Amino acid sequence: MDIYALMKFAHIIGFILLGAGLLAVFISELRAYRTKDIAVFAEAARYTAVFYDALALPGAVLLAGSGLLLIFELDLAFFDEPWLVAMWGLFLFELIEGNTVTRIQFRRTLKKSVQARDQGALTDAVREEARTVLGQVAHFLDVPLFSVIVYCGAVRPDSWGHVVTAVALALVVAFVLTVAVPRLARPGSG
Amino acid sequence: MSKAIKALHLIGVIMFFGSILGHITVGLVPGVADDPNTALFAREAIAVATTYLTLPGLALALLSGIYMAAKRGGSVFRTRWLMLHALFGTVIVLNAALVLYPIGQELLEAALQVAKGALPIDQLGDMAGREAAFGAVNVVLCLVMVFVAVVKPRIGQPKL
Repeated sequence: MDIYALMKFAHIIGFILLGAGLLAVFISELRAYRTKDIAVFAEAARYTAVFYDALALPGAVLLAGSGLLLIFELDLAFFDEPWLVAMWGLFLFELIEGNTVTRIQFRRTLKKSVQARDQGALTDAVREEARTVLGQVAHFLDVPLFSVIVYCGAVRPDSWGHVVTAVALALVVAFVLTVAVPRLARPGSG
Repeated sequence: MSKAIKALHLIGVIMFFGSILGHITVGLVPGVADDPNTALFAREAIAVATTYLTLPGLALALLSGIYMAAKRGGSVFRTRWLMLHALFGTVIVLNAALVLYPIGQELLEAALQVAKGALPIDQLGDMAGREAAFGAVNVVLCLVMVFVAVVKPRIGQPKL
């Protein structure tokens, strides 16, 4: 069995783990937006933290390691192919954003949610304090940008036009999610 | 077009397999085995993920996989790794539809009863054992299926 196949396998498992983490966080946050129950609100914040650390983080490490080895194994230049630039560029962006804005955000959400649970009421002020606008934007960017990375890896578009269109589409989706989800999800119950 | 379908297939696999990994992670959260409210929250989280990720992911992976196989025509049946891939896929679908989904529904109902105090939490643990066993089978099958799709072993066939 060749080393390339093993690296590719590790790379796809990395994608599955990272995707699992990001999607699980999305669902967990959706429950927090939908609920009227402070206990569910606080528990969702705990699950978000668990999913980031147990799935997204190991997935990102595996994806980065295997991706770097694949670039060397295939003798690819970092800046030659648009799809490759998009893959590592967006991954790097998500990695930095995930370990700065998002990590600070979900730690803050967890802390504020637990404080609110101890006080016993889920008010609009508690919701707004637990999730900042910047944190929400960063959160809703995760899945669309991850989808662009998957698209670039599977389709390997060789024109910048396709890559830029995909990124622009992801930004539009992220914007719509940021505006719509917190408002549309709120009237329901978790 | 075929590359776009491949991307959709990959997204379906990520949604389906990823959600199973999410279900496992939920089971590891402290309090799930001994606190009724935590257990109920966990079962509700799994039910929501099943609705929004597991089932749509399975449908997407299945439909895109069937489309790609159909595009290959008769050569599908002569390509052993692909037959193996399809066989594992079929077993995963059957296990998910006939065993894991019904157990998940039963567990959610049982968790509701436990949270109301109508059932002892130990009973939930016994049922979760069945889910863990059949769930583990699907995780292993998913891993092997992805491995087969990536490595494309010849399995006795000459190299094309």
